Amino acid sequence: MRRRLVASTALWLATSCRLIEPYRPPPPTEPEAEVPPPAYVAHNPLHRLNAIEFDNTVRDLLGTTLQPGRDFPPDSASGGFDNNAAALSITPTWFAAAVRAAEQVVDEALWVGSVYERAYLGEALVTEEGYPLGELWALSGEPLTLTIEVPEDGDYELAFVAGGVQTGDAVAPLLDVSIDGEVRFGDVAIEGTPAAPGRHLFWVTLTAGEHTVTLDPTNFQNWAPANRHNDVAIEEVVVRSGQAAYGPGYARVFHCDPDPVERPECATEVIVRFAQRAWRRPLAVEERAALLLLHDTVLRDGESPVDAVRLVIRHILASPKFLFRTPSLDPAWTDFELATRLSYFIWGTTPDDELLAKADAGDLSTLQGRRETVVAMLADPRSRALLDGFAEQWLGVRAMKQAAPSPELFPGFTDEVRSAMADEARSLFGDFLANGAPVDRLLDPGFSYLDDDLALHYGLPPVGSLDVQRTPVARDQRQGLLTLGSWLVAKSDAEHGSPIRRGRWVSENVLCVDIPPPPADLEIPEFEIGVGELTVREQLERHRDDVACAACHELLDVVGIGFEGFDASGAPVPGEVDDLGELPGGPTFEGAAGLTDIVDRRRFAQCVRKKLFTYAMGRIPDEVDKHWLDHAPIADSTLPDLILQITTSPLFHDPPEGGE
Amino acid sequence: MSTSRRRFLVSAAGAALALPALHYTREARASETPPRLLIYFMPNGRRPEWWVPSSEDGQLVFPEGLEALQPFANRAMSCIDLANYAPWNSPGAAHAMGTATILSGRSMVMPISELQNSTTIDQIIASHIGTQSRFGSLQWSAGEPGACDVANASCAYTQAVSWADYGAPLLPTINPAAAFDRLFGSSVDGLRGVAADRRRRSLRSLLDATLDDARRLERKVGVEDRQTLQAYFTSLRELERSLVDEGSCGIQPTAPEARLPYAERVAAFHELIRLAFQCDQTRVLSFMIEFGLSGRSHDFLGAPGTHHGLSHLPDEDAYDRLRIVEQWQNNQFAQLLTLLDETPGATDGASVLDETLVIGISSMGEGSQHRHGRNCPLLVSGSSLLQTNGQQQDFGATRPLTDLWVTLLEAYGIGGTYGPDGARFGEDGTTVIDGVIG
Repeated sequence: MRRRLVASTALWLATSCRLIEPYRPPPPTEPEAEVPPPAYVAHNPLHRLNAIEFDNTVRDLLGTTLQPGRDFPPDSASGGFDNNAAALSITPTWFAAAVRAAEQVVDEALWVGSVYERAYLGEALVTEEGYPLGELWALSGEPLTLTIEVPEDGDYELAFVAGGVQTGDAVAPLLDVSIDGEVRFGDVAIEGTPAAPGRHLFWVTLTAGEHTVTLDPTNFQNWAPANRHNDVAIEEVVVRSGQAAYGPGYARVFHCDPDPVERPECATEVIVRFAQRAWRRPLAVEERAALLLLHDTVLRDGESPVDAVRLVIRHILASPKFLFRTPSLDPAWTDFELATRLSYFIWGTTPDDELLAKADAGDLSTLQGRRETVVAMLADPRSRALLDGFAEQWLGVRAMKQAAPSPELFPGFTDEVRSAMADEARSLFGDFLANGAPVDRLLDPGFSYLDDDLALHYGLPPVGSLDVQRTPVARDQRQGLLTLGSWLVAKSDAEHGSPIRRGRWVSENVLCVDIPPPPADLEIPEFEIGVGELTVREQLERHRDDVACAACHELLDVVGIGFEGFDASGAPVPGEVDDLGELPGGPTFEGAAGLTDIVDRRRFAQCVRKKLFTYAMGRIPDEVDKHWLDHAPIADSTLPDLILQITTSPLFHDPPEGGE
Repeated sequence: MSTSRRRFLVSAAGAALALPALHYTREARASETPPRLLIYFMPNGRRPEWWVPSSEDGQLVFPEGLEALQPFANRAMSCIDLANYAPWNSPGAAHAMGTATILSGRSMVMPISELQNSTTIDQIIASHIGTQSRFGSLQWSAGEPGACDVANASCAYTQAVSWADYGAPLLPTINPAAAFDRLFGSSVDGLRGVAADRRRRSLRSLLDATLDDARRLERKVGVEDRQTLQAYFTSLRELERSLVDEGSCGIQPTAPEARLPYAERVAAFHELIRLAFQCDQTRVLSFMIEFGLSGRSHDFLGAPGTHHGLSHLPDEDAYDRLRIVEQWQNNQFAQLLTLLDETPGATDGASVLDETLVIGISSMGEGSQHRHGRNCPLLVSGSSLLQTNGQQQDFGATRPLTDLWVTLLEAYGIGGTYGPDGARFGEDGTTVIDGVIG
């Protein structure tokens, strides 16, 4: 069954635009027919986290403020979104960046240190009589005096790292530690050698301000003929406050003190708890054992208790079980896999403890439980991740941020306008996550999101706000998805809007008619819009004279011409504009408002659902998916309805009990 | 388990490298770049009976206990009794003066607590042949600081054979892990020293655990996912390599562990010398098996007592112990030659030794009398730079050691005058030694 479907998908891709169903007016009644159940359970492959997901995930796991994913090699988009499993491969460069990122975030978030610390080394240790020994400074009998400064009164750890040299029958080297001229620790024996220096620790109470610290060798010997020699070689002197400071994630990860003597079970608890969060499921017995073995190994090799746990956490974050969302490896983990998919879809991040607990309790297996969970997730502020991940890509926001309209022709397209345009698109979509309106009203919501900069750019009266705000608009005013500056700018050339690219955007993102690429052997003639004596329309018509091009360009150009009223910066073109567009199959429209009036609302809503599905699953819908997408009930669905339909469908996951 | 796997990798690589070096023809040498230079320094003088070969029918025969050098007899040149006049003309005329001047030929004046000396021969050669490699030259020592010499001599005089300039000793790196770090890595997790060594070991454990973890996952997923995981495994392997490999020319060097005992530290440095040359990290290197005036007690050889003390032969027993120490050091030199000879060089069919001039030299001749006039360096190379063809020359304690360095300048094609008063090198190097240049 599966194989046959794959074959027919390939066949479909190979067909020309001639086979694309022409635009038809909607049938009088909606065929809310029953949906035949799909004949297979979709295979959900290993699904690598993309950059945004990685950043969000380490933020939630560790409380880090770093966003290392921004510096990863970019994720390539497929099907319009950069979370497509098939496109998210692992490369050595990406993996190295991810491993380095794990080191950085663990370092930052689980840092433990002192509120004050200062090390004196290198040049700071140079004395008159001594000499350098690699990184160390051999005192050769002369005292080392340092001036230190501490910020406030309190207890400080004074440490010096040094190795003793002892040859022949010389006595072991000793030194006095003085503070402000007074010997505080007399005849300190030097532990370690220059190759493996020892750390010598003292606690001192200091007042705020400057103090002198003197390390004075007391029994230096150098009698060459008898090979009698000793010396003290100093690597560094460190002054550290006794008051501890912690990184932002320390408390949430270390819920207990991992000192193996005080609480031997603590490190185990911390590690297991973290691994379950990071791998988004319970641990298998052997996984747990392997983690604890690694912990024992690094602890035995001399890492500190905290470092040992931090190293195991780095291992957990480098594992394929973290970097990939994995298919359920154990039938008992099915609901955890589901929780993970829900979480990355709606929150763009890893499931939290509560969601994992729901998975554990089986709440996600029932229709009611899953519905309640999704509704709660949408109400959570984290659902804004749909704006970052879904809306920004669907509505061309990311591309618009990179677009370069000619500054000479469009001086009004300032950074402020660009930024407001991103907010305009995000806010419109965000509004529909909560406003209860059917999703097709995205085309004519009756409001728009504007600030003063964007209003000015659009030739509208100021709205009295420096941030975009919901502004009611009259029916004939600029509004809705088809007038968003984001995609209009993204689909423009530097000096002129691109009817071809805008036509394609509408076909693919509003109507969900995918346009195949031009034939392989096509020679594309020079073609520059808006230049020369011919009008844009005449140029485009010439474009379609070629039979090989016509089939697809009939779908593209005539739609795109309808948006000639917007220039390359998304602003309205003044004066008379020929913006008579045409949908495949005949109906014509004037401008964005005209298309809004005639577009098949049901088809648009289905298209939104299909886009959401593509994003939710991280795959381009196959034939079975499409069958469901085209036939599942859609009437009057809101954006949350669509999300509920997708997340409770058998395609998303095993059908919930009591499902439709 | 992880450690043994790694050892296996390393020894497998070693085995691959230990292919018998094919004979390197003179034709192949014709177009070669100048050979690398390695100075191998041994402290407290050398007694000739354990070090200097005899010459029988034009063939060098190494003394009993040093048979390990015999395979290199026809690639060696033995010098007998070259005179280093500089320490004689310096206050103390002892170990500091010998060690610091064997490669410079410049005497010192009081106060010798101040740094003097001048550019050593290896550094002049480095400025000519070392410019292509990552490091112009490197200085390492397995030694640990001990007593500094008489007359309040600067410790640098016993701790550096290579000097960049007047008053500029190139103090060697004494920790092999640090030397490795400089060659093939930087600090680990921002840590240095012992903490970095420990962390490096931890990271290896981590990568091994990650590999095991990925393998467990691989067994549980389907065919398509296994393909995805192959890219993961490839990435993991590359990362593993990159963690140890910076300019390591595709081999997998393993960082030496911290706190190695002395003998293992010597071996670790030998391995680093091999790697540094094989990967063209440097073309000029000096290695001090111990510092001048070494007070090391070689208990691990069953020869207790400070080396320096033994070298002055206080009693019969001392002679036997000194023999054990000097023979062990001489054999270390032989081991390094063997290692370099087993390592493929840059040219097809050549070994690293075929492309390197190795000079084994001590601070003086026989040590109990501080015989600076009887230094007996041994030159070994498979290259055609010098006539390292089994010849031996006896200089009768009258020919200055600096003439050997003048000969080296000539052989490397380096013009110019580096000594005062018309001396080509040092205070008394004026004349190329006959029959040495290849």
